[in-house]
Amino acid sequence: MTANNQDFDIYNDDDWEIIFTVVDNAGAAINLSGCTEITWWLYDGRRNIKLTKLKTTGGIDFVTSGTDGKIRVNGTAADFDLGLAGVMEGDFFHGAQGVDATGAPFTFVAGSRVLLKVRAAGD
Amino acid sequence: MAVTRLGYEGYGVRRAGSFAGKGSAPPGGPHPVPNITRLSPDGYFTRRDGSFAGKTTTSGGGGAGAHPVGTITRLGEAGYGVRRYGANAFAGKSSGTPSGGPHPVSRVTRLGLDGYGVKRNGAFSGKSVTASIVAGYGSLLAFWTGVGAGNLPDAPSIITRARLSGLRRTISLTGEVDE
Repeated sequence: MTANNQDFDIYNDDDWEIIFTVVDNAGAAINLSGCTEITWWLYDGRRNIKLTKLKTTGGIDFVTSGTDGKIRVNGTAADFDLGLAGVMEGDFFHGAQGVDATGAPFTFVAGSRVLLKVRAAGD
Repeated sequence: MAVTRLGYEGYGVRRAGSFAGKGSAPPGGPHPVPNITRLSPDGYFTRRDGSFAGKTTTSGGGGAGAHPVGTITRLGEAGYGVRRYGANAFAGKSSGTPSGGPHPVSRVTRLGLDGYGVKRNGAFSGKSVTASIVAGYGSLLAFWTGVGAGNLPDAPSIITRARLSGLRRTISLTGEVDE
């Protein structure tokens, strides 16, 4: 089933990357090389999307070639910077979906929690 | 003539001598100005001693003594855009070059704060600011637009976070597809 327990936390002043290994129900890596799009979202508790990363715009790439099921979501601390509105912090959720060569979408992460932490002195 | 509002004693008002209620051309003594929209506190665009009120801006040739301004849109505070003391001119004499004594400016559109675009002593108005201003707001950096010779920066265009860790964190997760 779609993974929903892929929680993580991160300081909101860190650059970051998420490496996903996408597998099937049996745990075997899925060949993602034919995917036309892969999308990763960060959204809040009201399901308002706060950050989107796309393969087609370079926000997501293959760690190698995608045949091993590994993709990388690339981000920086600037992704959490809202300018005059401040900085994103607190509880969020993330999910990811791909579109295979036939145009069929598939979800491999949904509803997992992300905690954006503010670094305190000494952290 | 109309006096819409009179100030307190010593504020825009001559203490000694009658002034109010006189007609447009009575002989002798001080007279109210044709139209005073607002009177400033003592010392602010006001000369305490000597007549000042009742003279029009076009009467610059009326010899010694102060003359009221034609239009003051906003009055400054003490020392800010205003020269409190001084034997001669204090703020931008009018173009009519009236003779003798201090003269107020003919038009003041905005007065700055002390030290910013304002020279406390001596002439100040009409001069541009050439020094750039670097402002710090705690952990924020302000990047100002319009900085340059003759330009006074007026507003921050971008405020961004100054502190980034410079660290890169790798998170390894597993996604699973229903098949």
